[in-house]
Amino acid sequence: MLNNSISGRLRLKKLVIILASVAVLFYVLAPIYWIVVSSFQKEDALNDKPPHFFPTADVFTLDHYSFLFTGEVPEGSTIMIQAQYTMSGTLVYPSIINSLIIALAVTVINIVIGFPTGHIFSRFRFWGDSKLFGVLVATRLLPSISILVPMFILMQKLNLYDTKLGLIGIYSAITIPFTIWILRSYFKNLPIEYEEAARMDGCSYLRSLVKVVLPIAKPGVAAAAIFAFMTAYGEFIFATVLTRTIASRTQTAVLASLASGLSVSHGMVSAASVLAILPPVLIAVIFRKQIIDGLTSKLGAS
Amino acid sequence: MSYLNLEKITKNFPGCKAVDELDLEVEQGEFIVLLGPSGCGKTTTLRIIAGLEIQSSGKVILDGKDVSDTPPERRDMAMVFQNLALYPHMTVYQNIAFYLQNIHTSKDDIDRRVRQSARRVEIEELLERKPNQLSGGQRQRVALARALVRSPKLFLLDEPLAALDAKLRAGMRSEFKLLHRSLNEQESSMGTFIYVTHDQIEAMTLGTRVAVIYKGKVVQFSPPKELYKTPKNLFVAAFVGSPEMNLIEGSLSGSNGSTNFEFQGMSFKTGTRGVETLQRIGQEAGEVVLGIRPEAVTLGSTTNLDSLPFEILTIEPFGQTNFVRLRSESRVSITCLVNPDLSFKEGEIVGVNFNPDCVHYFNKQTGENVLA
Repeated sequence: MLNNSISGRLRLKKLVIILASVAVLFYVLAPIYWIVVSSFQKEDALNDKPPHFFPTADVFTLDHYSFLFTGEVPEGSTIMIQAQYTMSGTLVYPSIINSLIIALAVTVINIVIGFPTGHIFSRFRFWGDSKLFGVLVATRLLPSISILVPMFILMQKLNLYDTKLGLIGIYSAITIPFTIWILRSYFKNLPIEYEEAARMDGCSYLRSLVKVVLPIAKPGVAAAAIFAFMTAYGEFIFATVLTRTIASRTQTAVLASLASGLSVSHGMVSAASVLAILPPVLIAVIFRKQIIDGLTSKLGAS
Repeated sequence: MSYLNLEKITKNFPGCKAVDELDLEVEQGEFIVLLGPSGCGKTTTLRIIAGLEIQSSGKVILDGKDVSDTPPERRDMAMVFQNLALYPHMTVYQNIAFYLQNIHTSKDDIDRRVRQSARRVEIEELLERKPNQLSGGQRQRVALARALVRSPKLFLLDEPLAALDAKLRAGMRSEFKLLHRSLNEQESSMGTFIYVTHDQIEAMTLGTRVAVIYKGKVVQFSPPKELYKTPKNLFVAAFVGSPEMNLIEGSLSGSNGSTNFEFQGMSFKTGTRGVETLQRIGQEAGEVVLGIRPEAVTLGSTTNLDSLPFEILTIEPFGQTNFVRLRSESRVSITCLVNPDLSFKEGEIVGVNFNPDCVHYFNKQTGENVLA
């Protein structure tokens, strides 16, 4: 009897947990599902009432995607075409490539600078260390918009307006303090003996970082890298203001221009959004284990 | 000049002095144990020798060279850490080979030496495993193999057995001893060990000499036997030996040719050691602390005139001997070890005798052993 009621209660608890998880999942995934479904529907079907929650073959089309890649409207398509879409539509794919290049460069710079700096802040005491660290982290508190105008002038003076390099520089400046902060707390929870053993085994400080600390701290580094990547990939304000041509324009700016205007092609915006979501989703799937380890195990526990 | 010299090493941490003008001289081939309670500065001392901690002042001189400012990777010392610190991302083989790779040894040479070192601690079949696939004892051996693959100027060991259970610890202890002996017998280069522990049994069994450290200073540096037989002061007397030495406060006084130690209304005839003590003190009488090890206390019948009456509180059988706690009417507690074949009972009043040749007298103010 007793056993039964305990296992019954356990089963109930499990059920509640599962239901709650499903609810959260639904809340998070439903918009994404809606975007994906819309991107494969004919434009006029999108206005049907009731909407096609589970689209059937007669409303299916690949037109939006083929337009995004070729800039041409297929024969007999119901797609809505205006000058604005033809222009912006062809920019979607190159702008995603721009965003990827910028975000990857920012990620690499973050690790190269943030990894040793975070380590130094976690292991060494020097004059003014905590104040310096405080100032560094405090830069995160500045809203982007407050430094937009000075940055605009700075970029123009440096001839970096409308270049990928300019955005890479700004995004690195925005993300590096956070990377340092994450890695510092990660290192603080890492036993110092690994590094010391490496020193005793004949490694210089730098070599011990590369050969021992980096492999051991992989989850923390992966988490920090993902944050840097996502910040750079999804940044909007600087990208809109500091770029003009497709030489540097990023997916956020192009997608925004697709979705603004008098009339909006919902099918096209959805298709562009799906393309823009793909790279980070792929990265998240590939590095799933590291990200979860980095975020759950030791991060920020100090 | 000794092989390793520590000269007036001091280490200040914010708010405390971990090591206080510590001096130590070690000869090549010795097995030195740094023994002391936790927080006494022994580990800090070892880390200063290693170069992992920078001394606030003082010098570390190794093999005639001042290495005080040399970074750890260039001091040529091997270290076994308390938590072992095996690199979790490397296999056992890579763990052992890491030092050799760092000094750019040839691949064949690395392979030969790694296998030789692994054979020495009997972990050859584990070389391809990762540290998290090993038991505690196996990890211990890997950590040791990692040190043995080198012929360093010093082997530093920081409580290497602390993570093991009691049975394994005893086994590894004898292996350390064997290892030290074989290193110094067979090879031209001698193995010099510095071993930190708070376990006095490890210290007594392993050390060729033991440095007892207390409050950042070496309070006694001598072979283990001497440490046990003639502790230099009260701290060493109380810290070394298990079960602990009995310490009784009282006063020594001489009268008509014999010297007596008086405590809590009881009196013990001291024999020659008491006479010498009084001579050293240079007084007719003096306040002292009497120290006697439990095995030098014997129990007998109360009818013996010289014996002191004590009540047996508890008898704990240790197997080869019985550990007995006693208390006098005046509430003086002592312990002793007796042959388990003797039939004493708890609650019984017995006559206690101290072997006068095994009694120590400590100065009550300074804690120094008067005769040492």
